[in-house]
Amino acid sequence: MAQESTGFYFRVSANLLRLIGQELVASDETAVLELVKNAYDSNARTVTITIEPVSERRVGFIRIQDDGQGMSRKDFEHLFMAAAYSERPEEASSAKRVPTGEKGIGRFAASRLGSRLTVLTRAAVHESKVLKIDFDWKKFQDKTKDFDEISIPWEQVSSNLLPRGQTGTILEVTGLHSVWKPDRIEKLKASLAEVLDPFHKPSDFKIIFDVTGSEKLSGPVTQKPLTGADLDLEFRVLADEEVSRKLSTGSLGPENQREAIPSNADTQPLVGLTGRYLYFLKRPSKQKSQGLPAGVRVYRDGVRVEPFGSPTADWLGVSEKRAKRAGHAHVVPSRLYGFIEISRIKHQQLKDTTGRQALIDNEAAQGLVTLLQEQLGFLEENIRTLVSVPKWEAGKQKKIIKLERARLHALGMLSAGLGHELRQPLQVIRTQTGNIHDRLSELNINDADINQYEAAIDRNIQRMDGSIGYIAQLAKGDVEKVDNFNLAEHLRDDSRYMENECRAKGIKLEVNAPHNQMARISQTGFSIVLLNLLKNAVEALDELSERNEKRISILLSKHGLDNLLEVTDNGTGIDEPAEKRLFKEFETGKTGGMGIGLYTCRVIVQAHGGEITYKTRLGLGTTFYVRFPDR
Amino acid sequence: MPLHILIVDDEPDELDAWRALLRRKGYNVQTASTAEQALQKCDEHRFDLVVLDYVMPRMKGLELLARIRKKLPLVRSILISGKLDEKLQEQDIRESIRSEVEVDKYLRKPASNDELLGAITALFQEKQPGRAWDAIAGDLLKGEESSIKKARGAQSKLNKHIKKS
Repeated sequence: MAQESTGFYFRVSANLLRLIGQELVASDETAVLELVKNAYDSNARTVTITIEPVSERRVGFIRIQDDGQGMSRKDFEHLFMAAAYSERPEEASSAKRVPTGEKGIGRFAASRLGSRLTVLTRAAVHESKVLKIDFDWKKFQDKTKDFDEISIPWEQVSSNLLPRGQTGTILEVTGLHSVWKPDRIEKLKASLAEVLDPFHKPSDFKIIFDVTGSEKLSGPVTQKPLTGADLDLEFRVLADEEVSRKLSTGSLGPENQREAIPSNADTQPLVGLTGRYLYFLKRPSKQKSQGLPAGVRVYRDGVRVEPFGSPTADWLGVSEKRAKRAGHAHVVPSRLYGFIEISRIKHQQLKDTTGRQALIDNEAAQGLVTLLQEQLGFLEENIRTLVSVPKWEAGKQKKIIKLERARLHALGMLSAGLGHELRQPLQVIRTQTGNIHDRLSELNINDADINQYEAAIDRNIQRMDGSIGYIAQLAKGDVEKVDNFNLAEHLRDDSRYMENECRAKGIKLEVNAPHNQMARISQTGFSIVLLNLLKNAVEALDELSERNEKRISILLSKHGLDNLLEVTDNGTGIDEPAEKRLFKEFETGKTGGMGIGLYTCRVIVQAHGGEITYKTRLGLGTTFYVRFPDR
Repeated sequence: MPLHILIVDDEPDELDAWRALLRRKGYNVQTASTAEQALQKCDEHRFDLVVLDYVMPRMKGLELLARIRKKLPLVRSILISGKLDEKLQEQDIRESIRSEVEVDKYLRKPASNDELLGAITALFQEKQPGRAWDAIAGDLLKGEESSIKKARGAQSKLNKHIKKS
């Protein structure tokens, strides 16, 4: 009778390796990254990555060589060969480095890269030989075998790659699964560069590339600093536990002084910490961001601590705040970059979790988050004040412009056929009125009253005609079109059109405009606005008695992209009831007005993204101010 | 001899009004409310002047004028339109389409009686020459098809003028 065991045991299929190496490690880049992190964890100062891409002449390999502490046979057996085990025996006592590695699966990442892995390692300086271990990953594809049924051969050899007196580890992957083309190597370099702090390069760790046949791709890996941020906030925790900070806003605002402020956080464990927030008002170009994705990252002695700053780690609650406050939160996560420097010596309380991801949630780590959120709040305040038109406001403005354009368009459509249609009956009325006059003369009727009636009919026909002409101008639609022209010259031409009328009424018309002023606005739109304002000014002066001096002055100037027009009259001014309906459609206080003059002015100006305002004083006159921005 | 005038307009009320005006002033007036009718009248009478509405159904004023000129090369013309506006530079337009079809005078609706009468008087002043010989020769030498084609070209030129003004 067979002996029964006391319990069940997992049998681990050798195929698990494939699952770990290929499924858990997302890409070849991540695989190399894992191996480099292992090297860092072994206290290496330099990691050299040699890539010989597969070609007709070359077999191809990837070699990752470090000058770390290496592994003895015993180390190898207990560390490397124990899957998912990641503690190094000396780690607990002499934590020279806080490991960056993940869950002890980094070594299997090598299986993703190629079918064979050769490890050369030496842990003791006096040892003459190196330990050489050969992995043939193909053997692990056998699903019928257990993990521990596959033996890995090893031997003691001499190696030129690891000369006597030197410790370290060499991982050489052959039988490469991928063709390493330059763009791929470039991508790999970029993802390795992300491990390094762009502003404070690690003093004791570097990664060097050696790509066979390419000088361009060979050399040390560096993360270039970002440039051109609109807001740049630097801060550090001082020994007296205050926080010193300085904000630079470049051309956006005045130079700020460095200031020291207290923090609500317990900053004692954070003394010496430095941080920098870079904020871009627009999504930065690749040149500015150096290809770095947005996020607030933490670096310990120049080497990144994950996962801070990864797209999924909203550890400062920036995205959450934005989601909750919709358009009112000013920090857009995709435009914020943070670089927080901690040191393993100064900040021993900022410990990593056993999973080696993130920091243990202790008081020091909570203090760090509080401090960073405080500084972020300060940054946000400044973004708010610097950006004079917040996004929602700009959105509102855009909607107004869109609405006014639609209104203008509708007005145009409506009046397109109207003009011609109305002039036909006007023609009949006008001709027949004249005929009545002639007929009466034939009948020898010459009556002053009748003549007066006739004159009134004709005058009103002309007025209707004028209104039709005005509407027809709108109908042509070119008030929406943008012309590039000399506005100053155009203004003089247009005012000449009004000059005769002004002279006849004893009004002095003054035009103050530069010799040239180029503008990118609708020419017709501008004319309509100007002529309307002039007409209003003339009418305001009509009400003035003949004894007064009558004056209209036009002033044109340019400020940045804004074309500014001022039309001033010394007429009667606008009284309060008139002010209320000033810009309203079809409302007028005038006898003989359609009440659409200022209304259309407003529509046209707002459709251009500008505005029209006025100042008036009863009995003294009125000035209208128009801002017509270039489009 | 009173001047013979043909008025072409598709609006009967306008025709009535103008006919009453011009007859009262002693002109010999015929009217037509369609282009076909106008061309037929031109076969029956020798007109000194045609007054045309610019916009008419089926055939535009300029094309009709070109067709009339085939029958009456010496006829003078006044084009009246509700689409023209104050700022329109009459002289410019007249020059720009003269080689295609010659219009002697443009009037915009609503034209006053004095404007129309003044235009007629101006065209037929005693010492005022008639149509220029080169224009007449051009009309005579062009084939009917090409005249019409040119008139249509002029039509679109004029439309552009109207849109621009």
